[in-house]
Amino acid sequence: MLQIGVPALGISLPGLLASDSQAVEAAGSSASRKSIIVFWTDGGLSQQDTYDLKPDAPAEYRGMYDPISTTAAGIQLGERLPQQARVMQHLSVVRSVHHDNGIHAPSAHWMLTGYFGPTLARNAAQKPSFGSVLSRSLGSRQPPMPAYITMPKSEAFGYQGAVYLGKAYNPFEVIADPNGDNFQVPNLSLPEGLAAQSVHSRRQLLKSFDTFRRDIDRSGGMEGLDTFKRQAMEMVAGGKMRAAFDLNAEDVKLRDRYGRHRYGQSALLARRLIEAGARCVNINTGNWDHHNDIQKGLDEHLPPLDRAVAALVEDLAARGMLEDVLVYCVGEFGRTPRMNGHAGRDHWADCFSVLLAGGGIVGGRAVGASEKNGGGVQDRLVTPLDLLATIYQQLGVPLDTHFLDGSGRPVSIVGSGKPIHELL
Amino acid sequence: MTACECERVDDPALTQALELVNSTEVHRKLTADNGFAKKLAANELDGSEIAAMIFPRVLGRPPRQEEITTVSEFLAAEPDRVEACRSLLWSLLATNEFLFNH
Repeated sequence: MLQIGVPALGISLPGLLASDSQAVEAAGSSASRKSIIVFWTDGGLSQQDTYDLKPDAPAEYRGMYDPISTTAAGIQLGERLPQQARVMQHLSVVRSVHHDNGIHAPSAHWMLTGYFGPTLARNAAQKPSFGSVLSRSLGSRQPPMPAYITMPKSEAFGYQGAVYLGKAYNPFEVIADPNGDNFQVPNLSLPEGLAAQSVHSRRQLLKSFDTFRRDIDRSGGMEGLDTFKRQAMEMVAGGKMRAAFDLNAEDVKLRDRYGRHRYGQSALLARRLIEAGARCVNINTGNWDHHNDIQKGLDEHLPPLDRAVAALVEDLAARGMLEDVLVYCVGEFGRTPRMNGHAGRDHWADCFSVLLAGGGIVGGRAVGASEKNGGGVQDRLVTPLDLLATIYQQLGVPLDTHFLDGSGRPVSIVGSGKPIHELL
Repeated sequence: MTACECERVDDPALTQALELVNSTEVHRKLTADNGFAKKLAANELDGSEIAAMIFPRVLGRPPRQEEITTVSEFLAAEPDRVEACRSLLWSLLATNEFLFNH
């Protein structure tokens, strides 16, 4: 009987002690209605085949795709993005994002946290991800829905976490693929035969037993763990969480419109989770590291991403939610303006593109410009911290917010970053 | 708990807490026909005797007075004795004390 393996909680006592003072602060006190859905294009999406075409450049720069017109005057997209072209009046592109690293891990750290960080994939994150900053600063809109959710799980070399903000602000991982036949979040459903009344009894009992032994916890370090257990039990006890994760509650036609693939169903689920109270939902959308035969990769992955982004933006607009929900499509960097000898493109952080929509962002704009054939920033350099400052401001996080790092030093959430005023 | 936390990059603790409080594996063992909960429930032991059996077994120590009181009151209030025993065992397995000591 007592061979039951209690799953390793992944929490060490020292880890908790280090973070307890911050982790116990009450979250969810913000009145902000705003939230964000992120499409993370892990590996690096090619800007010159999507959002920043160079139709007049020599063939090796131009690439495979022709430009197509959009509903925004003067803005063209690559021909594999017809759905986004159709809703371009809601979308804006920043074509002049720049940072100074060309390796996946440190670049992912840079784009997700705003700061340059580790130089090897195994190195621990040094700064919190923006999802965790939002979680800590604003909390969930409606507990017990977690504030910050990744699907199907966290990626990007572990840089989608909370680090010194405290483990309570790590993302909740959906784990399962929303496009799976019997999509279910592990451990969210009550085991068969377990009555909701028992869950309630056990919650009370557990609370009593834990309270009696506060003496073993003179430091207060158990508070963080209690938070997780309490939240987990609230998620299990009520029907609200299971209802939010139930994609079958959606109209079949709408599910089809999002696309019957991981990108589409993840985007639809993200909308449901935001409606039910999440603050930041991060969808990890496959891998875009197309060093070889980039056309094959993009022909396969652009259509589902295109459909998912466009359907989400349209759906949010139809529900009157677009003003409150920011949609952000971003990866760690772009890809080389000149094709390589393997019909692919390599890493490129000198000048690349990201997509934003909703949440008060003006649609139909293209901010910044790359050089004639791509390469460097020609106009209006935008840094990773500028992007984060834009997001924080739109979601209602004061830009003068600082958090103490592991050594007790206050670190700004935006550093030198300034909101991109052209988007507002 | 982990031997070397530095090996773990960043732990999604809520995901794991969910597994802890709602594990089908724990549920399966608690509801097993020949399980400890069923045996406990089948006898005529009172609350203090039940507490005296389960605390050493789960936590490796005797129960304290306030814990005996909680167990007794809980057993008296629950209509289903087997389910009550399951809930007692479940709760002890989910305590911070169990998680950090075992």
